[in-house]
Amino acid sequence: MAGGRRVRTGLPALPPPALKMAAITMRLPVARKAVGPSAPRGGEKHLVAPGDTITTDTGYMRGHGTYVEEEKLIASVAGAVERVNKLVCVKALKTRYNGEVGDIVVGRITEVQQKRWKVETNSRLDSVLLLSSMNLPGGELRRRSAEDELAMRDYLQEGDLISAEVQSVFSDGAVSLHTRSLKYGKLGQGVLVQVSPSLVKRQKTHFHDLPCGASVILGNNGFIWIYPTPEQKDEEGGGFTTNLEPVPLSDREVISRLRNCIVALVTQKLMLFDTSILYCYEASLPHQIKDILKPEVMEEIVLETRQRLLDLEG
Amino acid sequence: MAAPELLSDEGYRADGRRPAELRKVRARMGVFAQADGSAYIEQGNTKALAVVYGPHEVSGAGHRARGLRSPPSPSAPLRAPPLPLGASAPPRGLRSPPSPSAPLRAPPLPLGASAPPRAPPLPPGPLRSPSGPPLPPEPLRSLHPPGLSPFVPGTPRPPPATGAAEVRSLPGGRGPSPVPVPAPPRVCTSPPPGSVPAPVCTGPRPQMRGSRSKALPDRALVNCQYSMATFSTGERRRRPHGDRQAGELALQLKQTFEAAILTRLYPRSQIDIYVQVLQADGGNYCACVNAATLAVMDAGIPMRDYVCASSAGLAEDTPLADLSSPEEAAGGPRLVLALLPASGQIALLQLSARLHQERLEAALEAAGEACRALHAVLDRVVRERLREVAALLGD
Repeated sequence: MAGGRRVRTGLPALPPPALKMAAITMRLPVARKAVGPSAPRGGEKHLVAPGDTITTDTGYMRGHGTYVEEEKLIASVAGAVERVNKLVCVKALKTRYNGEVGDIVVGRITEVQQKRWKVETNSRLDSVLLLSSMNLPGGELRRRSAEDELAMRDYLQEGDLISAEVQSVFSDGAVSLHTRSLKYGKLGQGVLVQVSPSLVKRQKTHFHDLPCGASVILGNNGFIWIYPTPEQKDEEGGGFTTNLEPVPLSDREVISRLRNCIVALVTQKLMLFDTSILYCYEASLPHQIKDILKPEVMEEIVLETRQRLLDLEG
Repeated sequence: MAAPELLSDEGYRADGRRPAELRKVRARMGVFAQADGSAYIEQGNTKALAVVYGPHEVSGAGHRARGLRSPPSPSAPLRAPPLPLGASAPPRGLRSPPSPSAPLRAPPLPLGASAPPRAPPLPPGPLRSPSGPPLPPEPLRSLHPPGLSPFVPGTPRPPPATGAAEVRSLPGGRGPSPVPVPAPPRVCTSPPPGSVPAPVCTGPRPQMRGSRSKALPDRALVNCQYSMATFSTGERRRRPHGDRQAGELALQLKQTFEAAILTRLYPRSQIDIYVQVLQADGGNYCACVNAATLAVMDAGIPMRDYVCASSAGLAEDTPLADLSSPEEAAGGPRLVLALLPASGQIALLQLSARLHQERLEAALEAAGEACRALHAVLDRVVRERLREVAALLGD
């Protein structure tokens, strides 16, 4: 993570050279300083590191991030202790995605198998999308024939990105997906940003058409898809046709700006949801799109976003 | 045995440290954004970087890159002013050279609970019962009794041999095992009996990243790679595919972290640990273990405990902790210990060069003490990071 001091080169004092040189900004690698509330709200959290004994009381139940040895409950990850009645868990600051039924995820097809696709969703095992758990063109109740099986690669190919919902979670933590709604399906043109799943706030909806002119899918698995807002929701494709019209420059600028804003928010560990992204977008408007990634600009706009969010909460 | 110049008359070492003093340790977690976990450590002039990916699906080379390798789908060609379709290249990790094969799961892992179910070919003996419960902890306990009893009774040496050997024998009837220790007829010409048999690669060298067939049904596969930067040593050397030493160290890292990571929680998946030494000034393995511990923690992968590693040597009778490169080069005995400090369990213990049995205790104690001191330092780093991030995340 580079950031911090800047060294401006270029020749401001000398007359402009014959060969015009663009100003270059070089930075020395410096530990990035985070801007945030000086004191955590809501009291001090119980933070533990692996090997720490949480309790010697045997009345507690062992949750995620803990293990029991010699009747002691010991933390196995670094994070904050969470207690629900008698259940003690330790929530790590950053992990891979742990699937939960009903989550919206964005994933990438890695493999086409018999009657199923394998999808990379930042989970500990590749997720599965069954041929039977997706809408095929031609309506809900179409039977899946052998031809469909043979034509699987025509629907989704290796490398394609999809949005889907978690249908079930297997005992080993693998996730089964479904795309039985017109909301889900193959993703066309847009930008993917990969962030830590813990930074995506759980909400009622994860599909947002932002007023700034683009849409985002905030996957619970930390994959965020930014795409131009579709003009009309087409029904006939069943989610497997992609709009290949060229995207106008203005839309692409909005998308790039959103992408950089999300990167800025993630660097400063701010939770991602529609309001925070929108506030950050608005805070970034005075700056050029590429400048958003500069550490000092990042700090400034994230600080502003944080302040507005705090004001919103009251 | 030990070079006398290791310790000055005033009791200081060449770099001005006291015998039990560590070098200055600086560490940082989360240095890379794209990896699941990463850490950087400096121990004196030894600098190491560790990166962890996983747990993820076990698959053939370039599982993460497969999405990119495949040709763009015909239904989604990039039209004129194309938006970058999808993400930037997913991190592929460092290139993985082939590794020594898995059957070399070599010396029995110390921790009963984490011991691989497929026991290494030990003769049936009281040493380990596969279904046995985890061994009760005990300060500085080693479970490598055969390798560690440096002298076999019967050598022409003063009697305390048995007594000292029993210190490390296991409680509960797990006495000295019947594993045949190559009995040295004459101590001075025998191979160093005190060294834990280092895993030697003999088998075929399969792909490091592992194919799907390498997935373990009941636990995660830990995959380690050790490398040294070309500029890390005094003389610039390219190590295109990693040398033999790197393979050996990678195997030791794998053993160490299989003992520490709760691999049973992630069946059929794989955890990649890549470490690189940026500057080598003694204790490379130790710096790598310490960096990898922080990186694994940063990735949120459950571990039993920290793993802290430190080396120790001897100047005459005085144990020296945390050897620097000149001290390692002096040729004295070198003990490398990877310890789980809270429980005092040993994840790895290696002794190079011969050492009198009576001094082993002192060296082991010094290394253990150094590990505990390191634990305190690493713990501070982790808590600092935790506080920082927890404050940022807010409620």
